[in-house]
Amino acid sequence: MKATKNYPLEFTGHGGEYFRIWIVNIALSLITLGIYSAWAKVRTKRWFYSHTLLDNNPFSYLATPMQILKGRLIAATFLIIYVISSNISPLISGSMMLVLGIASPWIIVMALRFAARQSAYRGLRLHFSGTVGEAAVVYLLLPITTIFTLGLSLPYTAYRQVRYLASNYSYGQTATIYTGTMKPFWGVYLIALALLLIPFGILGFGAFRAYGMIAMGIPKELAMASMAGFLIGGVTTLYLTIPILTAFIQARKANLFYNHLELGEIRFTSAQRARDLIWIYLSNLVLIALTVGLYIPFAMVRITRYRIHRLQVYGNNLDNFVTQSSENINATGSEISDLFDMDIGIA
Amino acid sequence: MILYQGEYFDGLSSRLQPVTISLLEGIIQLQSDTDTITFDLSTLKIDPSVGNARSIIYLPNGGEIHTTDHQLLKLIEQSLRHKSPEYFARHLENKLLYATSALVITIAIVASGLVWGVPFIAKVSAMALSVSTERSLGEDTLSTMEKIYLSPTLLSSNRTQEITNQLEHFCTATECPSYRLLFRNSETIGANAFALPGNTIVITDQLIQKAHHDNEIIAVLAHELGHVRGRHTLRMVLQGMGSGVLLVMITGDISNFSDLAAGIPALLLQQGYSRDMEKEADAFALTSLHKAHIPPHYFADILNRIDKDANESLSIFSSHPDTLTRIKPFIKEDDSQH
Repeated sequence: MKATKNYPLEFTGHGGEYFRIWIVNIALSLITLGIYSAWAKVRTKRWFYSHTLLDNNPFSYLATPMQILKGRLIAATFLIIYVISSNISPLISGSMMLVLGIASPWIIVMALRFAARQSAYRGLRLHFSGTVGEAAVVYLLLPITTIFTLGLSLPYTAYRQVRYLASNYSYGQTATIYTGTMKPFWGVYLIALALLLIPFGILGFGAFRAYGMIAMGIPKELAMASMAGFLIGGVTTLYLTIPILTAFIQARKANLFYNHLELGEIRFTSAQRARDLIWIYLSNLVLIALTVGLYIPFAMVRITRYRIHRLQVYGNNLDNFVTQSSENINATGSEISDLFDMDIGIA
Repeated sequence: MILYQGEYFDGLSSRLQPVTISLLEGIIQLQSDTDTITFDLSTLKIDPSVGNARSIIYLPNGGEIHTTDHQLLKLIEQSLRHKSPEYFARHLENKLLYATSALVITIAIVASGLVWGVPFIAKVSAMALSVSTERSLGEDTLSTMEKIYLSPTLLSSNRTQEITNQLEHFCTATECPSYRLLFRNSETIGANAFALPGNTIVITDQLIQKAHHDNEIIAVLAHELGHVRGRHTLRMVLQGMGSGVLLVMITGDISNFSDLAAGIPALLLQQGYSRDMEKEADAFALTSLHKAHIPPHYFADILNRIDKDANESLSIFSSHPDTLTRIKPFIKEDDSQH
């Protein structure tokens, strides 16, 4: 069945409205020494979710502040023990770090599951069913391999991470499928590499020329002076290239995620552009600095609106998604996994 | 009876069912084309609204009611009014005046946190931090500095012993903290002396050469002993960390890009902290010189001389407050003695 209808997707929130929520969140979090930050997070999430309308229906964020608080208290306790123990015995703090490293795939999965389960649309929740084993491969093993292969396996790692996320969600009982292949990821990272060659090319050319000048008998000092210009040029270009690269990879990865994502008969297209992201990030940064941070809520709204604006949803019918039982009853019920039903703050 | 319009989702499917909603004595009734469902009002759940975003009414069967009717939402919220700090927050958010007050309070708290809170906590933790930690931090700093700026002293061992003895003698007259004095040569830093975490004082050959009288060297070292006594260097490091943590705490939920801008004020404020510490160290030097019967003007003399040259060469340790105001008490003290 070919998806025919384009469902309107819009973000209806405004910066001015969010500004008040944001500033009150900060004030109350400070006064309560951070305790209120759990409520602040829920209010923020709820504001962003319920201003996101698909086919004129809002998304909903279902987590309670207590769940967030629980997660934050555990994380804070861990951090305090770590800091204290690092002063007493590096052995304890070292093994804590090791345990955290080993447990990180599990923590990531828990966080993804929590974030999914707390997100709902039209009364149905999202679910994340990725395994800890695959998380260990894509978030721990492959990144380590990337170091040893000098970045050559980076496209593969990125592909596996996107595929891991995109193929493990379900809405009601309908699971997402990822149909993307690894090929376009090669393209993304080859372009990234080509961009990275510009600053290194300038540096390399400068060094090559200086070497040639010395070989021709020109004094070393003069050759070095000619090198200096290339050094400054190369380093400046490098500093400019890195944020451009980050924005480029971010935009392309988001597009690759959505464009090959299938949810039943629903299809998505995402058309984020690197130059837009660069412009938004850069102007946000300048405005935040000029307003001593007061522009932050406006900046957050701006980037959210852009991402949502660039996403399209196609399908024939949004009514057909179902779930087995009334899963929403007793959402934080008696399951053992609910012991860890809390926000860990990664996702 | 007032009828409201809304959309019902049963929690089992994503099917949208337009319903007419009515509120009766403690009961909510949903009427669709085919069906009528009722729920006890007390079994509903509704989250306090955020801004203009729509609230969702959660039903005990796992279903949801969506409505844009603010009056209905308000009625249900009132009938359910459970205690949540969010109501207070919403109250603040709704009035621009309150939101502005919240902003002012926030700024006041952040500012006083940076100006008083962080230094206080840094002071307390500096005093609580184990000596060995501080010493290892000092050793790390020293080895880094030795790689970049410092080289072994070019002074004769007789000369360094002479100064070491004089300082020891000076300390018999006043309450010096325990210290370790190191002599180093540095063209880059020039005439300078500084205290590292963990009781270590470094004095450069350049400073010793610049002194016209050994009492000037002792006066400078007295000032540095003041820093050691107050564990100032460690406090500076902790304050820098503290300001950073505080600012990240506030702006914590924003992207890395904005964090970049958030770090700048912490750096700017750093200057203010060290000023207070300089005053404290100066005060210690003044009383100690007095006790040891060394005329305080020696401190003023060498400071003036270094200051004159500081304009010519770039000094990396130029966080000292305005020299003229600093040396005033040392000159005055001297006048009254004569």
